[in-house]
Formats: sequence, structure tokens, C-alpha cells
Amino acid sequence: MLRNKLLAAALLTAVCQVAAAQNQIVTHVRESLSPSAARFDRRFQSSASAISSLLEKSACYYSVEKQRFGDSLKLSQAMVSTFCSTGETEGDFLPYEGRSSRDWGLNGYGVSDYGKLGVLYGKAHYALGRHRGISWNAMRYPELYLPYAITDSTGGNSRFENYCAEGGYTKQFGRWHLGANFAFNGEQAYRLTDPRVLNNTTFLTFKIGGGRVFDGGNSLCVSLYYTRNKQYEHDRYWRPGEQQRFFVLYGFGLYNNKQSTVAFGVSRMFYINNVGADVAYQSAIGKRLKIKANAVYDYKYMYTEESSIVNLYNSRTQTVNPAFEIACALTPKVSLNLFSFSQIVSRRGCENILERYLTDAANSTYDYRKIGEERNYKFLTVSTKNAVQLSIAPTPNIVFGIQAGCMLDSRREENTKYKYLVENVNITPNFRLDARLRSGNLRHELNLAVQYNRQIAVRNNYDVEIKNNAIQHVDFQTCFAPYAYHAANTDALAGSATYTHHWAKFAAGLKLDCFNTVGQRVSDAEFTKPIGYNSVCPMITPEPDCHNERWLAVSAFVIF
Amino acid sequence: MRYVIILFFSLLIATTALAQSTFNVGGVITTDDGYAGFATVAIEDLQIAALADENGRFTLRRVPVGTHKILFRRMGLVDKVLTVSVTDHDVSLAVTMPTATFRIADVEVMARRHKADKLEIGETAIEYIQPVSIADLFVLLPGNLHTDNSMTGFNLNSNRQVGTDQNSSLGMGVTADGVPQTSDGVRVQMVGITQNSYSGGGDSQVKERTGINSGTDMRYISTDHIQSVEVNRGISSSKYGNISAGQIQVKSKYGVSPLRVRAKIDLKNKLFYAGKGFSLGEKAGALHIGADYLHSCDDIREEMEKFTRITAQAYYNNKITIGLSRSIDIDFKLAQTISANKMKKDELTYEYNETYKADYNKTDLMLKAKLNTGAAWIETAELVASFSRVSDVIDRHYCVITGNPKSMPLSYSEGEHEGYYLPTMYYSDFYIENIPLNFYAQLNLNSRFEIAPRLNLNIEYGADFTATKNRGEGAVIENEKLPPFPSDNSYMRPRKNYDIPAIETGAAYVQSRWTLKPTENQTAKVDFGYRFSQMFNLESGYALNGKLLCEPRLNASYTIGEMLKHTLRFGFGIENKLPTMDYLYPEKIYKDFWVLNAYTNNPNNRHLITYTKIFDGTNRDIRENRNKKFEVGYDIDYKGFEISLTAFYERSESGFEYFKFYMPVTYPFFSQLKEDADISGRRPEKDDYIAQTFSEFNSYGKVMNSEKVVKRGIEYRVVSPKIKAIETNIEVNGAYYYTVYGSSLPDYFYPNSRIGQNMYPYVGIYDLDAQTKKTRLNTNVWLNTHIPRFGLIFTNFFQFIWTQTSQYTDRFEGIYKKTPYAYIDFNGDTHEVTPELAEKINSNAEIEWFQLRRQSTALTYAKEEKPVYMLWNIKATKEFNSTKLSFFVNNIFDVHPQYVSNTSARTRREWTNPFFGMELIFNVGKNVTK
Repeated sequence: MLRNKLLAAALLTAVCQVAAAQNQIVTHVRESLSPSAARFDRRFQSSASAISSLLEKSACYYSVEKQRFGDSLKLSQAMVSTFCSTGETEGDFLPYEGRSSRDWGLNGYGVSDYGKLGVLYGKAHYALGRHRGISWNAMRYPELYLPYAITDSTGGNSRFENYCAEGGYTKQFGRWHLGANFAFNGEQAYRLTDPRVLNNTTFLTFKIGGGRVFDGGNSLCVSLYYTRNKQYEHDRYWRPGEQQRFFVLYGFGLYNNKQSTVAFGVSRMFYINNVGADVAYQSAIGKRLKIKANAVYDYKYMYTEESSIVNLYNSRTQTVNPAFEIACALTPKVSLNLFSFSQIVSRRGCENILERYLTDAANSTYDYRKIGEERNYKFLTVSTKNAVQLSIAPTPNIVFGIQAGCMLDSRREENTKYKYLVENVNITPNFRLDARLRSGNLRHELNLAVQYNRQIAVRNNYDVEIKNNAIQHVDFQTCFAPYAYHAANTDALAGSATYTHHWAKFAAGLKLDCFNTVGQRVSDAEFTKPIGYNSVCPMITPEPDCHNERWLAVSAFVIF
Repeated sequence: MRYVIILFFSLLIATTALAQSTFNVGGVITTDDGYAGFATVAIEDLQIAALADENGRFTLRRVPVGTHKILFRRMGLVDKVLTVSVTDHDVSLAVTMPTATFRIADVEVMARRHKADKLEIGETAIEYIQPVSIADLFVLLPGNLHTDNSMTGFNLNSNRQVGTDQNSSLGMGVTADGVPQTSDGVRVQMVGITQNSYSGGGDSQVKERTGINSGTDMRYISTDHIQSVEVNRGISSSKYGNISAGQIQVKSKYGVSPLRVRAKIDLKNKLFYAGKGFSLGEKAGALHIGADYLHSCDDIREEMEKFTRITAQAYYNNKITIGLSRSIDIDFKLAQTISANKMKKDELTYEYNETYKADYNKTDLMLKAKLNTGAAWIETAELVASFSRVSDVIDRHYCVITGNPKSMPLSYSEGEHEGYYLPTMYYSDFYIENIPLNFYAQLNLNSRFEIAPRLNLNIEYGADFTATKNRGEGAVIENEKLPPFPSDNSYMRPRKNYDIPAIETGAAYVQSRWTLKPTENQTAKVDFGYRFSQMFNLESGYALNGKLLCEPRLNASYTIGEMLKHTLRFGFGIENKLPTMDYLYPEKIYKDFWVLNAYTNNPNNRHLITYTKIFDGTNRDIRENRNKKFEVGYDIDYKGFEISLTAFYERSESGFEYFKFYMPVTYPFFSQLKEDADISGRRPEKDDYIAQTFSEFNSYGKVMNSEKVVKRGIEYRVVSPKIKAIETNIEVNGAYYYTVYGSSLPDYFYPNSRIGQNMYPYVGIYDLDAQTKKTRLNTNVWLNTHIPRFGLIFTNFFQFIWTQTSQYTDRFEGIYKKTPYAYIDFNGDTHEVTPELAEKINSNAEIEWFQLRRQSTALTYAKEEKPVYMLWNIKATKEFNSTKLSFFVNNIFDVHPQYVSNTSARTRREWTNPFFGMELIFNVGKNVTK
């Protein structure tokens, strides 16, 4: 009897897994184009979706899934969607991200199963948007390059246009599945007020992978990828004759006084060579206990080049992302899922020492050469998200989920030469409810989720004392402000609702995601020294302020 | 020459008596769903062509006995080639042409070599390139480099050269459906804008956007209305004239086609097009209409750089059959191009309150009627007539801030006049209106004879007439006392453009094609032609008045082999580009020199007396720019594998150029107050000053036939057939170009300094023979992976620039001290520099002479060499039923190594940015006429 029940439970979870795989396409309706959207996806996304998304990144995922599920899985699907989102902050914000955002996009996603010829899949999107109130940063995707920024001291609103295309092919060759994937993401961002900034940022990724399905449906996939990132930044005054200082930053408010010249404009190239590997494992289908696991190792080497063709600094970033899900079917209608996601990011900076030397005396021409280097900058973040979820399916068309979890976020930024240290540690207990409701004729489908997070700042340490008073400091703007942003106690409520109407050959639906964060910077996170460089940039207050953020996204989609 | 012509026609008459029997080849062309109406059918070797009627019926008349390759082409369908043997009776064919989709293996997405050295870019290739203007297509041609399109400013056109020059751009001919597109009637004469004025700076907004004397503005030619483009970079047929640097023939879309909607977005451009070809009913012909909208901006931050273009075109065509053997092909085209560039308001334009507005409006009408008689003597008679009207108006509200008091020439005559001080800040309103009306008519006759078995002669001959009249007002400053560019006290008083005589040119040509096929595996072709042209309506003083210009053109080829074919090619020709209206009729420059300049804070006590000098830049000796071209080529074809090599040499020493001359000016000068003069509290007069004279040199521009451009190089092209294992076609093309830019006139140099209170008294004339030599070797590699079962084409494009050099040279290289061979004094007399004087110039002893010595350093002559460059572009297109989605990224990866510049002794690297976008095309409907 018990054996039959367990088999029924396993069968149900297998069916749910198939449904989840087919429903997974809805996760592609929207792209993360703003910091708020990225925060939503990181902190409020369903854990089941999150791990599925990680597994889906394997180069041979579709071919492996085809073998695992056989004919019960309909792989060939396509989706067209449009989405828009808006978000804004109040009080503390990260200056390099800006105060608010608004974006719109058009998305296409498709998988074509050509039988024995393999599986072709791809996606494309075009998006427009605007990020307002950016300050002390003229780069896009600043977190990839920080602390090595180059910026004006005016700030403003950044508009952007984003293009993305991804295509992959995977096929079974005997017992092995091989796949290759190519992805390009390009963005042009610009500012229409002085100094006018232009950023051309691209990410080009090649991924190859192989996988095998072992007896009973256990699968193991390994992928290797290379990503080339390039960002061109050009920041220039349009008003004839106007010049200002452009800052070449080194972190903690330090900047290169000689390179930070008063000029009409400045330009720079950022490059990142990024290699990585991911391993994905899924246990056999039809078993009572199922495991999904994924681990990613990622290495980034970032370097820059000024218009004078000197390389001022570089950084090396290593990231490890282990994640797993253990699902246990307790009864045919009840299952228990354990989720764990972690991310450890370690960055080391290297600053070059350059010499200007005479190359042609007759024409007084000078050039630069490297004569040394310093390795002073260290940055470490550790984030974990662990949760346990109980799912109850009273009928095949109704599934409820209840989840409790806790997140830990720690960041530590250090300059070993000057003994500067900035540290934030937060824990975030959270509670989540999910519901999936389908009508009897399966035409109507509604997915609902609500999550509550409470962030508690458990440790904050700001130890930055710039000794050199001969120059104006910018530590408040570039170092204290991010510290203050993380030193906050907040309460956040997030919600997600997806309605899908199914017809015989296609389906259409609407998706709504939102969150609202209300909080306050901790009382001891106060900047008591004089603010070094007065500018018109949007900026936080030195005294503790509120930490509020609101974000809403609406998507409409058609699946065929 | 007379004997050649007599011989030619004698031979012609004699050989007609030997005419052999020929047969007709006819049939019906169908496609997937019905008849392929209005397809073209051609035996290219023999220049026999016909247009199918709306039911796909065609007849090629008088086809000689033998085996021929017949090419069938129609918009929206895949080209088809049939080998047909004509023996002793008429041949009837039933031909099926499939619809061109990416699910068919034969779809062509590259340029193909066609007729000698011509390259043709077909409809699917145009679609695949995703152009926004015709200039984007030229990346397919060997030797051309990939560049991101730039629609904001005028870009010079180039042909077989490293870099660009204005004369090559001007000499690049573009014909649309047989009608030359000309900008020769555009005339802009205004200080600060035209090249014959040397007013510092000027209006960059206008200069960058207009291409005066620079040929066809490719930005206004939308590719959405184009079916194919044929590029001939070598020697053109004598049918085409007034060109000197290659020729581009554009063929419009016509006939029946599905509704096609195209949307393209990329970092610079947003383009939308819709077009469809309709059948108008039984025997009523077809009408193809389409319109596109383009919004473009090179730097998205620049509100003033936005370019908007709207084009619409309607093309009617029909074939009317008269009796059994005659028919008339009728084509009528109405095209409209509108461009509106209005300066948008941003924080800066508000601050300066300036405006820039450019409205371009072009209407084209074309009528073509071709009578097919089927007779030998006049097989076809074609009349092409076109009329176009362009309205190009630039309107400026311009803020002028003068650093010091400027005067404004008010007088219309030379000599002393009361002057006028300009305010230190004011707004100048001006507009430049060009309304060229272009009329073109050409009569083309064609005769075809089979002179002997396997020897055929095809003769095209005819005459054309071109007239261009500008009805615009030209440059108009609304308040002449507030000139927009007063920096050197120069001013023009432009005549209205409509007061300038029309440019009229007449020409006659004869072009013969001799085809000899001694065996089935050998073909010899000789294309020989002569073109005679003359400019009318010129004043008698012009050297070109009544001058008959002759341009011989010769292309010959010999092909041998059946499976493995070898072709040797040779060409020689002379091509003439005639001067434009702007070059023929420049304006005089009025320049003020200060005789008395008493400027005080009190306006009532100011007094300005000027001496006005008039400089006339008109050159009545101006002649055509004559370009001599030679080329030889060798081609191999083997089962779809092609290798093509072309070596060429071009020399032009009479390119148009506003050359800088110096003229001495001596005028009275009142600067030093008399000892007893008291001018406090009153307006000073000449009597208060000691009378002196002052001499100086003034420069002015005069159009001369002085620019020299020498081009030579080797172009290569290797095309592989599809490699089945990887489903990929490979094309490798490139060129080695060596280009020399120089001047055929000596160089003038004025030190522009003072000796004591006086201006330096001499202008040196130097026999520099200054040249800039540029070389480049490049290879472009195209890997087109076409997987029909997935409906997918994936292109990898790699561009390698193996070497790229630039070097300035002159006769003083290695000496560094440039000494004149003559000099001009303040009397305008030219003196030879004797060895004794040269010694003085080369020593520092006498201040009067050593300033004529021009010093340079080794860096001036250093050869700038750039390292190997590489870039990689990708493009993927997926076809879903009737929809195509494309994504492209240019410069997705590039290798630009650091190098030490030899001319600046600094480390350099060239930065490139990826350029990307996507395109969506919908096709709704069918390709058939019935």
C-alpha cells in the first residue's frame, strides 16, 4: 500500500515537473533591466523557478530533458511578450544605480524540436528605458568594474536601448548530449544633459557543454563558457568651452589626482574576459526523493584602457554559486522541498604605476610606460538563501506552497595599504506563500505568490579616514553611500501574479510582479566629517535616512 | 579616328550580307502558385534579352544556332539558368522558378560577378545586408572595408582607393533605371561655407551635412525600392557619360510581389518600409508601390544630428504585344524623397537660441519605352526620358559672436569707402536654396547581326541630352549688414542661382560587342565603344565652349574551357567628368581692408574707412576631369568555384580643386596721428592722420584642374561552392590598393608675418610635388552557413587589414629645408630664385629672405604604418514561414593592437565599438500575376 502511495507521489511529482518545465517558459516574459528588477529576481523569485532557470543554462539542457521525459515533454514552444516596469527609491539609494527607473521591452523566446536533428532554441529582445538620478558614476553595469570608475561630478539621467539575441543548438550523439550556445547582449546608454555620456556595452558569450542521462533518468551536464565584455565610456561637455574635473577613482574615495584632470571630456574602454564552468545534476524522475543541484565557478579579469592607451588598473573576480533543491514527496498530495542558494564573490584589485617619458625631443612628445604595480583593494561578498517549502496539492489543479527561509548577505571592502575597511552584514528571514490554480477544463491558470522579507543589519563597520587633506575627498559619495545603503533595517513585501488563458493552439496571459520596501538606515551609520567635494549630483544625506523602494512590472505574453 | 569609323561601318554593312539563320526560343515561366509575369530572360553572352509578359510568356528572337545559357530572373523568385541547344528549329521551354526563401538551397546572399568585371548585388543579397542606404551594399565589393553607416553627414564616395577624395566622389556615376542621378546643378556660394572662401571655421553644421561638388548623396537612395544594384568599377560602357570613377546602376523593384513589411532597428537607425506589387488586370500591367521612413542619428546625444528621410515610389510596367513579332515594354516611375532635418531643442540650443533646418524634397519622373522589333538592323529602340526636381533648402538662425570689431564690405566696387562696424554679438538669418531641375533624354538603338557562324555583333548606339537648371535663390542673407561669417571681413554677393545659365550637355555614343565562339569551349568578346560629348550654353570665353570631348572605351575577354574555364580580361578607357555649376560659376569675393580704423567706446566718435578689393575666382579655362583607366584580369571557374584577379591603373591629373592663390593688395592707410591732431570728443577724419600706404597679400580660391589622383592595385575574389559538410559557402575577397594624392600645380606659401610695421613682402612658389601615398592590403572573409531545413542563414564576416600605410613625400624629403624656385612681390611680379638668393633663404642672415624657407622634421616624412587589424561581424537570420527575423552585430570582436605611431612618436590604438541591431520582415501574399 505504502509502495503504491509512494509510486503515485513520484508520478505526481514527475507530472508536476513536466508541467513546471512547460510552465518555465513564462519566466522568460520579462528581462531584468533595472537594479530594482534584479533585486526582485534575486530576493523574491520563486526558489523552484530559480533553480530551474539555473539548470536551463546548461548548453545541452533541452536535449537531456528530451531524453529524460521522452514524448511526454513538448519542447517546441515559442513565446512573444512585452513588458514594462517602473521603480523608485526614497531616502538612501546606491548613487551609481540611480534613484528611479522605467523600462519597456519586447521579448521573443522559442524552442524548436527537430526530432533526430536536435533542438534549436533562442531568444531575442529589444528594450528601452531610463534610469534617473545616477551620480558619481558614468558607467553602465558598474558592479562589474567597481571600484575602478571614471566619472564626472554632475550625474544625471541615463537612457538606454538594449538588444539581446541568444541561440543554441543541442543534439544527442549516442549516449552523450552535446550543445553549443551563443549569446549577445548589447546596450547603448546615453545622457542628454552636460556632460553627455555615451556607453556602448556588450556581452558576448559562447558556451559549450556535454551531458549524459544515466539509468533511471539521473542526468549530469557540464558546460564551459567564455564571455567577453567591453564597455566604451565617453563623457564630454557639449557646451562650447566648458570644462570640469573628471575623476579616475580607486575606491574608498581615492582618486588619481594627475589623471583626474579638468577637461572637456574623457573616454575609456573597459574589458572583461570571463570564463566559467557550471555543473548541473538532476536525479531520476519517478522517485520519491529528487535532487536538483547546480554549481557555477566564474572568473573575471577586468582591465581598462584610457584614451592615452594606458592601463591604470585591473581586477580579478572569482565567483562560486552552489545551489540545490531536495524535494521529497511525503504523500501523493504533499511534498517538502529544501532550497539552498549561495554566492561568494571575491575581487582583488591591482593598480599600475606609470611613468611619463620623453619619446621625441625635437617635437617634445611624451608617452607612458608601466614601472610597477600595487595590490591594495579587496572585496568579498557572501550571500546565502536557504528555504524550506511545503507543497500541498489537494486536487491535481490546485497546488499551495508555504515557504520559510533566511538570507545572509555580507560585504567586506578593504584597502590593505591604507587600512580602510567597510563591512556590512545583514540577515533576512522571509516567509512566502504560493498558489497555483487551474480550472477544470485547464483553460484558465492562475499563479499567485506573496513574500515577506525582514532585513536586519547585524554588523556595520566603516573605517575610512583619508589622511591627505591636500585634495578634496570623495569618500562620502563613493564609499560611504553604498555602505549606508546596506546598513539598513527594512521590511519588504513582494507579490507576483500570473494569469494564463489556454486555447487549443496557443495561450496568452498577463504577469504582474511588484515589491515594496520600507526601512531606515541604522542610527550609527552617519557621516560626521565634512563632505569633500560639493557637487550637484543626487546624493544621500549624511544623517540616517529612510530606505524605501517600490517597483512594479507588468508583462503580457502569447505562447504558441 | 575618321578611318576607324568608316572601317567599322563598312565592315558592318558587308557582314550583314552574311547573316545566318537563327531561331526563336520561347516559352512560359511559372512559379509555385501561378505565372511568373514580367520576368527577364537573357542570354548574357550575346546580349539577347526579353521581358516576359504578365502570363510569363517570353520569346528570345533570332537566337543563333548553338548551345546557350539562358538566365531567368524575377523579383521574389530564385534565379534560374538553363542550358539550351538551338539546332534547326524554334525552341519552346516550360520554366519553373521557385519562390526565394531561406528554405531553398539556391538563395544567393552575396554579390556575384556578372559581365566582365561588373558585380551585381541581387534582391536577396540586398535583403540580407539589411541596408539603410545604397552605400551599405559596397562592403560586398572586393577592396571595400566594412564601415558603420553614417547618415548624419555627407560621406564621400570612393572607388578603388585608400581614403577618399572629392573628385572620385564627384566622378562616381549613379544611374537609376537608366537615368543618371546628378547633383551637378547644386550651387552654394557663400563665405564660410564654400571652398573658395577662407573664412576661418565657417558653419560646420552646414558643411558636414551637404556634399557640394562631391557627387551623389547616397543617403537619399533608399534600398527598399531597389531590386538589384550593378557596380562597375572599371571601364564603363560608352552609353554612360559624365563619370570618372566607376558607375553604379540601380534597378527598381517592379512587377507583382507580396506585401512586404520591413522594420529595422539598430543603434543609429529606425527604419520602416511597406511595399507591394499589384497586377492591374489583363494586359493592364503591374504597379509596384512602396514607402519607407528612416530616422537616423550618428551620435544619439546630439540633437542637431538627427536625419529623417521618407521615400515613396510607384513603378508601373507593362508589355504590349503588337502583332506576332513586335512588342513595347513600357516603364513609368514616380519617386519622391523627403528629408527633414530640424534642429531639436535641447539645453544648449535654448541657450544660444540657434536653429538649423534643412528640407530636402526630390521628385523623380521617368518614362521608358522600348520597342522590340525583332529585326536585325534595329532590334530594339528605347527612349528614356526623365525629369527631376530637387528642392534643397537650409535655413539658419545663427548666433555670431565676434571677438573684436569687424567690418562688413558694403560696396559693390573696388576702392575706398565708408565702412561699417558689426556688432560684437548678433543673430544672422540666412538660407541656402537650391532647386535644380534636371532633364534627361536618351535614345538607344540596338542592332544585332550574326556575321558568320559563331561570330555575332551587337551594336548599341544612341544619343542623349542633359539639362540642369537651378531655380533656387542660392545663398540669401536676410540682412546683408549682419553676415553670418565675418571672420576675415570677406563677403560674397551671390547671384541668384536662377540667374546662372543652365548646364546643357549633349552626347552620342556607339558601343559594339563582338562575340566569337570558335568552338563550344572558347568565347572571345570585344566591347568597343566611343562616346562624344559637348557642353552647350557656355559663354564663349570658356575653354569647354564648343569643345567636343571623346572617350574611347574598350573591354575584351577570352574564355576557354568547359568545366574548368579560364578567362583573360583587358580594358582601357577614358572617362570625363564635367565641371559642376558651382565650379563653373563661383562668386566674386569682396574683401575689406582697413584704411582708417578709429574704434572708440562712443559710437558717435567711431570712424571706419575701408578699401574694398574684389577677387574673382572664376576660371574660364576650366576643363573636364579626365581619368585614364587600364585593367587586366584573370578568372577561373570550376564547378561553382571561382577565382578572379583584377589589376588596374587609373590616373587623373585634372581633378577640380579650389586652389589657393595669393594676390598683393596695396591701399592707403591712416594709422599714425599727426602730431598736432586732437581727436578727443569727435569723429576722427583722414586729415588727422599721416597718409601712408600699406601692402599685404590676400589669398583666394580659384577652381583649377589641379588635383592629381593615381590609383593602382590588385583586387581578388575567391568563391567556393557550398561545402555540404558544414552547409557553408565561403567567399574571400580583398585588394591591395596604392593611391597617390597630389597636386599638379606648384605650392604657394606666405609667411604672414611682419617686418617692422610692414607685412612680409613675398609669397614663395615651391616645386614641392607634394604627395600623400597610401597603401592598404585587406582580406574580407564571408562564411555563409545556410541550413535550408532550419530556414536559417548564419554569416560570419572577418575583415583583415594586413597592412595600412600613409606617407607624405615631396621633393625635399631628407633635406627638410624647402626653398622656393620663385617668389611674387607686392607688385604682383614673379621672380626666379637665383642660387645666390637661395643661399640667402637657406641662411638666417637676412630676415627679408629666410622666412621663405619652410622647415620640416623627419616626422613629417615618416611612414605611418598600422599593425594588422581584424574585426568580426556576425548576422543570423531565421525564417518562420513568411516572417524573417535577423540579428546582427558588427565588430563583435576586433583585434586592434597597440602600436607606436611613427608620425607622432606615441603609443596608439584604434578603438572600435560593436554596432548591433535587428530586423523583422513580413511577406504577406503571393508572387504570381495570376
